[in-house]
Amino acid sequence: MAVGADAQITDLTVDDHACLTFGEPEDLFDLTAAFVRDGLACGLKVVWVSDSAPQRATLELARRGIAVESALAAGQLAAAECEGRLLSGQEFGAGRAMDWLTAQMAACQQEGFPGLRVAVDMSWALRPVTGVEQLPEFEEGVAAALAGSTVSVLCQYDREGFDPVTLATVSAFHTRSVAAATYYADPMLRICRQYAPPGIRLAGEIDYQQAEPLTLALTEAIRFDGDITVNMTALAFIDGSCARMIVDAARGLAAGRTVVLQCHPGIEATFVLLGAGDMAGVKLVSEHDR
Amino acid sequence: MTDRARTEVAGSGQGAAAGDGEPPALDQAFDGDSLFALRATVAAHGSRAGLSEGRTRDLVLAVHELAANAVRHGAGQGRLRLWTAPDRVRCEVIDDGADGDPAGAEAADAALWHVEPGHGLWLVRRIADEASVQSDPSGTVAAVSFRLGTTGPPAPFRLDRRAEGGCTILAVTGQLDLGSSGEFGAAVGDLIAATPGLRLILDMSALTWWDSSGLAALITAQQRISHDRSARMIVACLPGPLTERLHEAGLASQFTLADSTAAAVAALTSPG
Repeated sequence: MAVGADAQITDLTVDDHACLTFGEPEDLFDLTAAFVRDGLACGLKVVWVSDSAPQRATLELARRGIAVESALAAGQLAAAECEGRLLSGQEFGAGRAMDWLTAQMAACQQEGFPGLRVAVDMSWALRPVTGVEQLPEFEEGVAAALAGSTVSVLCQYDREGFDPVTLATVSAFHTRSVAAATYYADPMLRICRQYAPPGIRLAGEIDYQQAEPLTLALTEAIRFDGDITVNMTALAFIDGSCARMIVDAARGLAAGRTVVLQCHPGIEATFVLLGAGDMAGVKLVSEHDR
Repeated sequence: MTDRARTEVAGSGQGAAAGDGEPPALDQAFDGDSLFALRATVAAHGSRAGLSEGRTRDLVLAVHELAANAVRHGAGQGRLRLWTAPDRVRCEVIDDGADGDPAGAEAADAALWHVEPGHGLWLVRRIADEASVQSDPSGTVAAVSFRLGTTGPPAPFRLDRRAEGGCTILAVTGQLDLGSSGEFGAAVGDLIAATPGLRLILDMSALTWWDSSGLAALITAQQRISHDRSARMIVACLPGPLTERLHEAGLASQFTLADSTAAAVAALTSPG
């Protein structure tokens, strides 16, 4: 991992040219959803050029609480593919890509939006695409175009896919680097913050030996306002001790706030047996299609 | 004191050891650093012995809780022995106590088996078919066993609904488990939503067994019924061994049980 993170996705402001590194699709969708959500909330126009089909992209946003339908209908949100925007017939040209971006900026102004947020998944550059060597030139162009504007761009790089040299080269053109806040990561377990909906995400296997990072993650999550999601859909094992910590954290929340426990049925059973099923402020959401 | 002697102490308790006299299929030392590997090994053995996915998860959780107790509150390490018999998988977690110091071992034992709600053995008792703890000054042996299903193809899971005397009877056939609990939960949810003042009788006469997901689905169904206030639910004809399990798990008081659907109908329709 060549690029450290110096900002949270929720800290981004206008004219930021941020470099997001992500480790897994969950990360990408979560952080993008937060970027889109905050942009829409500020009345900005939001465009996501994703590596997946636009329908999949908007579905992932909707799953994370974004009012996709109304934003699309109002022309405030657009989901697009790389082809025809950054790429033309699997060929990349920095000049053409910049033309697309400046056209977007002009259109946004014409449509009367106070600003624009663009998220661009760079995973296309991992495939055999001609002109990929112009990527740094494009990033440099973006940096120049954004200065003093009301436009921010979030370039999304797959941490596993891009080599450290490329990441280091392109990151120099960005004003900030962004990644999910991670409380714990080893081959068995990952505990990180979730941004949309706000909370934490656990993946792998957790037992009492990781009580400390779990406590820290829960404590920080509780400091957010409103409801909190503990996303355990990618969790294969949780012991009684950690399940109890999560239940106790939920119990300690102020009245009116809810902790949503999202997990598959095997994990859900442990929480039900611990009495979480009829506890005020706890909502169990079972994902049968893990 | 050898492990062998302690094994026999535990084996003389209720639910005689499936593998009495047999060498264990697995005999593995563990400490805090090897719990992940222990879980993986137990999962492999449980699954190979024929436990369903959900019951294998339960076995893993039960063994983990016992082993974690030994690591955290006992000697800091221990030994797991696992036997597979035609009718059950049995595990023993052997904790030598605090370095052979009898006073220390006793103190560790006292702290070890938290039976207060939510802790160690309490959770194990809710998921294992049998759970026991035997202590002597030389250490503690905690045992759990998980029944294997009857031989031959299991009855496929089925829900059948019928009306009787103003009540809705939902007959559950087969295993209420990880694979079927979702369907069961959805069916109960639909009934609650569609029937104001629902009088629901769960006819469990053909229920073969459950895992923690199935048990959780029953608890959740009762909680939703109770939440609705106008609805009521009776669990009827629960097979004897499962009724016993419900009592051992400390969950029987959450349900209204009846011996027959007729008795359940009478109870639900009697005035007052």
